[in-house]
Amino acid sequence: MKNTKLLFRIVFITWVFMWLLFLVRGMVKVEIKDYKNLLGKTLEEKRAYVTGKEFYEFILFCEKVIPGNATFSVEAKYDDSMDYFRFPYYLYPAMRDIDNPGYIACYKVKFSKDKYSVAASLTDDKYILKRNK
Amino acid sequence: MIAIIQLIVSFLVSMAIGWNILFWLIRRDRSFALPEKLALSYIIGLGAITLEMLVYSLLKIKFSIGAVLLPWLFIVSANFFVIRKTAPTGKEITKSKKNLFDNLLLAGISFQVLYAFFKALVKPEDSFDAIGNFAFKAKMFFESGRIPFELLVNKSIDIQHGDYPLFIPLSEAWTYMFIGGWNDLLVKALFPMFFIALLVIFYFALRRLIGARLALVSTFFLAAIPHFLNYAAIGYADFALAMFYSLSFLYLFLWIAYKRENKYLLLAAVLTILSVWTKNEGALLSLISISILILFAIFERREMAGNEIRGIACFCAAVILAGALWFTFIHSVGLSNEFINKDTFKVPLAIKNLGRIPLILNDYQKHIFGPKKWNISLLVFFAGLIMYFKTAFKGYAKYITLSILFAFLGYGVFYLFTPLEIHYHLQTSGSRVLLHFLPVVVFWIGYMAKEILDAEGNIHR
Repeated sequence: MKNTKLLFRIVFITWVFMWLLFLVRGMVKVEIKDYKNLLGKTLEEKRAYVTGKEFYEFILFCEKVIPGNATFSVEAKYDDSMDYFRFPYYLYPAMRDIDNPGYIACYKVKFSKDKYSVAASLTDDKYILKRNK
Repeated sequence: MIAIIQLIVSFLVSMAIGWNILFWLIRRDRSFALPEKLALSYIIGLGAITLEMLVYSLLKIKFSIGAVLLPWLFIVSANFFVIRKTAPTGKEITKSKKNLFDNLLLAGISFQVLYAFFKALVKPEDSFDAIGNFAFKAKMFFESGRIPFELLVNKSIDIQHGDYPLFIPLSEAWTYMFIGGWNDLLVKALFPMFFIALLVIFYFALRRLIGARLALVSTFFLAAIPHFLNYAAIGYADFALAMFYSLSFLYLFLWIAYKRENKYLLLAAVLTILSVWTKNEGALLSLISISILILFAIFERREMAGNEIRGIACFCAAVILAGALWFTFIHSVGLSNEFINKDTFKVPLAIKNLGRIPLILNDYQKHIFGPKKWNISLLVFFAGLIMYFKTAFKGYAKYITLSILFAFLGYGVFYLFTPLEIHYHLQTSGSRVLLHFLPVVVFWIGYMAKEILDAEGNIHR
């Protein structure tokens, strides 16, 4: 009985110790930096922080150029594989159409395609192609 | 500020709907504490609303708060009269006196809950599956006012996991309807709300079996698992699945080991169906619950009454029917699972992949000895299983032990079928699938502690 109770106490103390250790470690190593950068920011600024400022600027540019009822595809050199999913997420109601897009968002690449011409550009390697009528 | 009030209203409305459903499941049973009833109301209410939204979409009725609430107005009015005529039953829970140790545990749990809210609400949706799957669908459902199945099957749009159950995206779309716009920061409050609901129900369910002190320690243990807290803040369906499955198992176990009253089995059935409605893995986990009930019926057949056998049959039929309806429907709209489908679900393929077993075991081993994510929960489970092997398979404890071992085994078998590169698949999903039954593991630890202390107490008496 005594041994069992001692064992339970050891389990409890270890559990609490591990909890505090990884809580503090997580905060110090990663989270506090994130919180400092996120607290007090607007939702738009927070989105820019989590996606990367450069990427989010391009998303806002795409939102202005690509109408909500249009389709698009993306040609990009992705810094983060998640950017592939971020494009349709942020640009909806404009829909991704890999096969037959009305617009092609070119991000950090130089890309051209027959029957498409530049509709608007942000920089040399960040621009949007539009299908010719 | 207004958006926060709208968000709170959305929670209260879901809870009110759930309260009316809960009344039909448990009537005016006083053995359920108020916090337990509120937490159950919230998760069951949200589950019912999302299922209603699916039906509306099939009937081509556009989503709106008014349209969703309309049928509930009749049900609430009817309940109003029935409730007055229904006499309360059951014994009220007696409040336990709390000492300093209990208060410290409560403080630890409260800290974890507040931190979950903070973590969720400091950052907009930005985790992999949240963006690629759940939050994207939620935005789409909200903006189009329906579930556009024709888009989910369209390959050139490349929507991730079109076949996944829709509890999370529809819950988020429902929340957006109250906020009045797409707000992928506030919507994340759904997840810490699940965290609270899970902890509250977990505590009260365990309290019936192992007493207030051990239930509180177990609840603290669960809240203090880093991986568990993280998933309560990132917008994945895995946390909701862990909640529905684990709570369904707890009520199932209460029916098995505490009181064979229909209310527990009914709650278990509803929560199991909601776990199938949350993630495809819910189907595997519901099969585990069915297996446990069948084993229970076999082991205890001599002591079982006819109505108990009928109860088990009804549970199995309801869960199988709900799962079959969903998967038949998904198949009929042209969707199928990319991992388990008619091309991959073949025994010869699994036999060919038996060489993956050491890799799968190695992945499990990393988690068992990985306190960074799991604290010492898995380690205590396996050490306890070895040290107290007989107790773990004795009496009712064997059903909890078996359910956990079945879950490890089930996911292990799943990795034999997956067409993805095994290292990649284990790395990207291994820790998530273990999360689904983590609360059951912590429950096992609490239950075993009670069994061991009771057994030793009897020896020394």
